Amino acid sequence: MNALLQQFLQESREALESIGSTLLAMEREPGDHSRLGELFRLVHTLKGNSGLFDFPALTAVLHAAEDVMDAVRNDALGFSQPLADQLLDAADYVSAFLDAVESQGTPGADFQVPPRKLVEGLRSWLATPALEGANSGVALVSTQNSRLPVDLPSAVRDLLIDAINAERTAFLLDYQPAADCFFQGTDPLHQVRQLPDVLWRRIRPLEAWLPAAEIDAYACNLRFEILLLASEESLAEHFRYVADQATWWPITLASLQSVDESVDTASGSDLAGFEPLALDILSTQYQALSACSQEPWPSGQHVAIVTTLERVLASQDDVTAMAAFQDCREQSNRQNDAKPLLSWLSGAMEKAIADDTPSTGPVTTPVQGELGGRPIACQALALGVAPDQADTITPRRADETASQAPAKVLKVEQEKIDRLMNLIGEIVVAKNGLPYLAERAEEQYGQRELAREIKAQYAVVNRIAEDLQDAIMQVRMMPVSFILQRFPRLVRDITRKLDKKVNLILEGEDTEADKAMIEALADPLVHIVRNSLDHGLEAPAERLAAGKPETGTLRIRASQNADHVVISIEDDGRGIDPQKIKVKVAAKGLVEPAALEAMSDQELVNLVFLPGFSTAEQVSDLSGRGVGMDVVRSGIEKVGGHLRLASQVGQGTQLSLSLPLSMAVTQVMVIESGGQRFGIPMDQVMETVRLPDNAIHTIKHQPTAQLRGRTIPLKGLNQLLAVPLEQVRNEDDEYALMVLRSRSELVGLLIDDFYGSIDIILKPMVGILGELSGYSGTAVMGDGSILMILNPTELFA
Amino acid sequence: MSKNIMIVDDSATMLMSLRSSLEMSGFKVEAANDGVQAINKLQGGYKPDLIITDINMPNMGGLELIGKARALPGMRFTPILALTTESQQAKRDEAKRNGATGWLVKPINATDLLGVIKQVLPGV
Repeated sequence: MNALLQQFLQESREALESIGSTLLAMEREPGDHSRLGELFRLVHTLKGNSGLFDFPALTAVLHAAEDVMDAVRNDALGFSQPLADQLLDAADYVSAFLDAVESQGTPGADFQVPPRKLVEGLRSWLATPALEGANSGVALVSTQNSRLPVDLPSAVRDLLIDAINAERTAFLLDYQPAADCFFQGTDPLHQVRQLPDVLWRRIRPLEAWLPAAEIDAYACNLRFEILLLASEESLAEHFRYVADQATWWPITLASLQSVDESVDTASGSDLAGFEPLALDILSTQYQALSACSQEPWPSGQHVAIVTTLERVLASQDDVTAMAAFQDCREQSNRQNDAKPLLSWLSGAMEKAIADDTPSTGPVTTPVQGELGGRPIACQALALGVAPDQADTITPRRADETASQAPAKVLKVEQEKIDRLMNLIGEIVVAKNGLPYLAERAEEQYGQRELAREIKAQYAVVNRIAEDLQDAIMQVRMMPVSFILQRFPRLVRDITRKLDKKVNLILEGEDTEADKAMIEALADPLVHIVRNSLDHGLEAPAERLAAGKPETGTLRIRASQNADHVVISIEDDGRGIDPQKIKVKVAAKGLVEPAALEAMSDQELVNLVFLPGFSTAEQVSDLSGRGVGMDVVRSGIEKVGGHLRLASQVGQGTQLSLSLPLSMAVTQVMVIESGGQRFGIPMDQVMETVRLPDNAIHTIKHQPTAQLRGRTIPLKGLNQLLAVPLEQVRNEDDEYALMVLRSRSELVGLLIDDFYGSIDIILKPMVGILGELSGYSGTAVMGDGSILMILNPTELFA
Repeated sequence: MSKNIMIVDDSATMLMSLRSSLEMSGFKVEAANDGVQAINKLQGGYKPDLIITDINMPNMGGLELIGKARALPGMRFTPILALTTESQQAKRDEAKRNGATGWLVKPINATDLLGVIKQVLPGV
């Protein structure tokens, strides 16, 4: 993306933010017009800038908005709530547009064509200046005849004339609930029903219904037109919470008389006065009937519907309705078609809705609406419940969905996060320099007070650095489900191929770990699962013979344990037979026979990790892909994790992978040996002890020590590193001993001395040193020196 | 010697666009974000050969800037171009009255920009 476009995006976002807050501020203080100039300028600048690029859709919207704002600024147009809404809609559109440009570099298909509705909506303010816009809670006074529905029934008009002659004020109310009104605590139907002295009422969709599948049942798409006798104050009071959605006009005799006299009045029956429940049933029947209207008449369903209708009508004691219904049924019977019945029902329903008034008001005969024959009334009844019909309720779409900004998620390249991570790592290391400084201040310059202050400052920096590190680590965290979700499919496919039955259970999928860890885990995990399915779990016949359920169980469980993520894979298969391993290893000559004899069962089981080992009788094409368990283990160890295997013959195998939550910062223990300092990864250190010289016993040429009831082999670090020095003992003739966990064994490492533990950034060794075994890398210390980090597992190998 | 042009606009995008067009044509460009900044620069002794200014800006708009700049010593004949949009015919006239030499319509491409500059800057 070029710099100009980037600049444009950034500036436009700032402008949008200002526009949004300015509009909201103006809403709070409608009288304050000092912000209009500023608002115009912002829109103007945006529009001017948009012209630098080929964004016709964007320019069209901004141009319209600019013209509107210009008119407002010049007092040609009053600023009002609905206008502000429209401008906010436009701002949302622009914002969505910018998002698209930012993510794809171009506006994309959705934003090629100017949003006609939005532009026209804005322009409409210019066409009908002032009056229409000035509605913010105050009713508009207009005597325009066109406001009165031309199809007003004569009966209603007579009532109106009487009322006006009796000096009552009549109003035509147009109430258009906001699409999201259901979420704002308004109940439009209730609102309308509570109106007193309603003469006439009509409910229509605000916009044509969309196909049923696309309908948003939670968006209101209705418009209520109501003729009523009320005072203006009571209307304002009634609609005080939705003042922007309701408009009313007083009705005068003059306006009434000009309405065409030759209006068609209602004919036939209607369902006026029916109970809501009855209407509800009728509407359901209507839907059912329209759904099966294509079927040959009379099908069983038709008969059922007709019966229900008849009973409902009978229950309502409406003779005319019943007669009309009987007529239509006869017609349907004669024509062998559901249509006559269907059209009667839809017409009657619609009237019923328009007429569904509280009993207090004078109920009059409503006129068939201009939408005659369409099933809107049924939906209106249910208010948002969409029946299975082609043209039905729908929210205002397109522009609106675009304006509903998605949850705020920032997409960042991983590289940038990694860089941040590295920098934070550097801070963690750099802060470690402060204690050295404090030490020097005190010891070299005798500045004890200063040393204390430096230490205090260090504590602060330390805390911030840790928080920072934690925060950025959170960014990198992702749920384990990211890799676990592929397993159901994998297991299904493999078991099909092997003719086995396995029930896969996933647990703890929402456990989180660093992205790099999750990724490092993916391949080993697939391999382990394949192994389990291939070698561990038996075929159904074998399982039944062994007295186990036919279907095997494979359980993958993720959990967090301190600063490690533990993934355990358990099966209830045949387990690993140590004796078979022994035979195999002996046959392959992978281990000295004498050593093999001395091994415990657990040690034998662990031999599956030996390079070149494969327990399967035949190499299958599933697990035997040239990757052995040794590769799995080294893969896990490479990212600082470890792996434990346990197995009971005939009962199953449990493998657990333990990985650090993050691999950016490593905690190491600093030790000294042979006059040199080294670091040892803290997660391998089990304990540190001072060991008297006489506690060391040599068993089979191997120095050992008894520690907490266990015999632990001892190794001197100098010896391992081929340094020709004895390990130093302290004045009490004690060795410094570090008990380390190497794979699943405990090994005692004799060293010269311990120091504290520190956080370091482990840099792997590169170039010629990269080949060196026994070290996992290096780290820069706070005082600038280099610390070599040992890899005990490699050292002991 | 390359000519100095001062561009005044509150939009960083517009400034960036103008600057790159002008610098590519060999001008030295000085930018200001609004009229106040521009006047300060002019009062501080900066003497551009041409000023291109936006009309709608916070603090001090372009019209006011043109009026004030004209009143400064040595600025009586410095060409000043007003940046307007097509919808602002009235503004153009007003800018003229305030002493603008001419106007440019936003958005302007580099060729058109240079064409207009050639008309008002002798020897370019």
